[in-house]
Amino acid sequence: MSDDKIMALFKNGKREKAFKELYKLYPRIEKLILSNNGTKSDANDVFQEALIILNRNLEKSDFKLTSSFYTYLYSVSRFVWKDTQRKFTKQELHNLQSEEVSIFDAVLEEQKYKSAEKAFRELGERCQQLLQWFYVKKMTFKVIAEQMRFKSEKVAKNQKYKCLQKAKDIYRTQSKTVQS
Amino acid sequence: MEKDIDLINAYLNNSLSETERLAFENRLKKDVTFYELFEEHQTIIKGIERVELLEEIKISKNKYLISKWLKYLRGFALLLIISIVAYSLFFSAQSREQQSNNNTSLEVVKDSVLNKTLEDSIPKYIAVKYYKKQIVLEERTKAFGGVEIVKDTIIKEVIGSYTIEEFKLAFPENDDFKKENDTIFVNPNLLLEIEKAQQKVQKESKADKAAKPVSKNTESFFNSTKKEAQIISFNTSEDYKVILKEGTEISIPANAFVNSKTQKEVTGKVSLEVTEYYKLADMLLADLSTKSDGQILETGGMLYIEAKKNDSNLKLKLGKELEIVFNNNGKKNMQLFNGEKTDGNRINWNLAEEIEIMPSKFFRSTSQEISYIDELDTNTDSYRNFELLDTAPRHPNCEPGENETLRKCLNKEISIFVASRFNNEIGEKLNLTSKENIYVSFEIDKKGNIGKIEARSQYNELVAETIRVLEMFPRIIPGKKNGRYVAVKYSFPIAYRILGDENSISTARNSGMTFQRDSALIIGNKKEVQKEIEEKPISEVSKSDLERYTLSTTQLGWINCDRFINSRKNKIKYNINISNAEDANVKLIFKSISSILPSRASNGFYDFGLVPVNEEVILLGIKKKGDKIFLGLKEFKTQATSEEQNIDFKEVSLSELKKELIKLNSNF
Repeated sequence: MSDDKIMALFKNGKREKAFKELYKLYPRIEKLILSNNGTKSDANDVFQEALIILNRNLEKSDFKLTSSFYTYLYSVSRFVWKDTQRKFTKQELHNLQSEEVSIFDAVLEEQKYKSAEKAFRELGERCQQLLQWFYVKKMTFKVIAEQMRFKSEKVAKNQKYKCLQKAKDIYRTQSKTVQS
Repeated sequence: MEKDIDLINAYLNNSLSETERLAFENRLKKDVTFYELFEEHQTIIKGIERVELLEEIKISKNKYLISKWLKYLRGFALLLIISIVAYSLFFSAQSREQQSNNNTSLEVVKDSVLNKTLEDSIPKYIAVKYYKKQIVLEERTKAFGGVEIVKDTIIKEVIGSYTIEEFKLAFPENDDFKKENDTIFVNPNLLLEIEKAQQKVQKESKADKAAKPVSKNTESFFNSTKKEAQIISFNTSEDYKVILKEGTEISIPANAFVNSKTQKEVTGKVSLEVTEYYKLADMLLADLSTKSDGQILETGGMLYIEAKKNDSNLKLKLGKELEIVFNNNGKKNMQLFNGEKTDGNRINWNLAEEIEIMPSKFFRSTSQEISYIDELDTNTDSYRNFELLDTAPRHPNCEPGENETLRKCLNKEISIFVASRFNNEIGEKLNLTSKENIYVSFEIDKKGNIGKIEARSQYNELVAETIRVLEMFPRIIPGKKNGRYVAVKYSFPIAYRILGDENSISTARNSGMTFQRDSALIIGNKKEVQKEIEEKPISEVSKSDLERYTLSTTQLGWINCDRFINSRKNKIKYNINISNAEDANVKLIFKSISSILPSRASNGFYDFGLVPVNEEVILLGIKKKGDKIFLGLKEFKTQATSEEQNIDFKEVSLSELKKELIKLNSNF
């Protein structure tokens, strides 16, 4: 499938199909990771991360894909892998081109979201569901209260606030540990 | 706060009016805390989005894989169909052909019968071929700690029955054969070798049963000197407890064994073969040493355990443990190690690892125990929250359990450890009248070592003493997160107090480091911990709980009750030149710490790895020349590296060697 068609899939909200098409590029990315001392599962993780970063950028209104999907995913994957390996030299970082800088920024940004995800996963099952329904599925408190058998919308809202605070608490302790 | 969050949500959902939106954006620019809140909120939500995204990607990946396989499958199916069609076409053509040939086939049969009768008149022989093959005698010798012994084995193979002519035709390369009666022997020289060997074995076994033939090299020599195992038979249907000759107690739970090959549970009579190694001589004769990944261990006894049923090896069932009480009075903080023979027959001991992984569980504690960390924190990647760990670090004396329990138990163990070693005179000299707080923090690294110890107090003396004591703390089982061992920051305050009461101080002085009932040193800021220590005087704790070690093992084989030596003495790479050793098996025996170190030899230099300086040691060499055994002993103190040492080797008989080694026993 051509890049244009994949782009159309993204625009029409058929993300799953688009991802499926992009997975055809995976073997080549796998080769890149394997030849840089990574394992297959590393390659899998890196590619996932690259897809997420691609998707995030596509959602931004000011983003324009200047190269092919393959080139883009390849350079994102390279950055993700190098970053996990902590193999950047100062020289390298200095010589980044503006295009690469934005990719590198996106990779670092995503790191933050990843630890937020980790914090979120530490929550109880109910909390996770509640937050997901509200923030991702954009369900109203009324529906949530019905589905999750809260007494009222207000209770659901209150509960959501508590769960969010909890996630933030965990996220904060985590990032403190990482920074320190 | 909650209102702000609502506002942010509304902003992100684009449900604010134009003026509200502008006001919001304005506030973002001016109000730093609000900006931070907004950033954090976005991060969390993007984190939550990831969960959904990852799920989608996973599904897409699976779909991609399925479609890929479907493609292969389609190709394969096509191939299959083509081959079936081709085969059936070919087959039908053939059967037609066969039908047409039916008439001639009778004659063929007749023909072959005729041939056979003709051939029968020429005598046929059974051809037997002998050849040499190297076979590794693995299991048993390896299990007993021997090297792989490769033996030349002569193999007899019956090739078939041939006439002489046929044989020559069929095996033109086998021109070396012998005809005897109705057999053709290929490689008759080997046959002679076998016969000679058989005669020799018969002679030897008749002439001298007692004197075992000493094998060619020193390594297999140790196989012959090894201690005999004690064999205990018992029925697996019940719990069983046995006390061995040298005092080891082993408790075996019912139905604990499975066959190591078939993995099936074993019932009925089972025999346990155990060898005890408490004496230095026994260890030396079995070529044992006490090293764990390059670190020196102090041993409190080693065991070799094998379980058998009708000659097939057994192993412990998953989840079953042997409880072993080692007979080693007075050695504290011992841990269980499993041994593994590595290259060159050297044994390496590994800290027995927990097999069960606790279910990952997140729980929060309400205690404020970790309140000092922020001030003391240094740059580490370690976890400092026990609550975020899957499994908290565990002291070997603590039962596996929930993190909170483990932490309490570790607290207690550290308290006991510090209390029993803290030099009280320091406190007395400082004339402390009130309670003195010492804040302590350290890191338990991925391997379970205690490091990065920090202590803070008004008095530098107390700081130094606390660090001194904690440096001696033995290795523990490290904490786990996501299935991996991680470093953990650990901190707690010590409240140090000398009671004003004259009597209690003087008794403390008299009895050295033991403490009174109303203990002079109270550690830990939780009431329960205090209580436990107060109720149980430390002297009592150590007698009943610490003197003899009950350790559980989930593995058979080599087991060692050891501790790491956290000596404060300098350690150096010890590499000495022994000019006359000539490939002897050289070991270093540490008198004060029950350790045996093996060496790696190259060009007359013997490398022992890291060794504490200024220790009384015995250098022991055993070498073999022909059938003679030579023993060399030398006592000295470890000093700088590259020392030159000569060992006086003298010839000994096997029994003399044993006597000499038994003399060394008193050193452990």
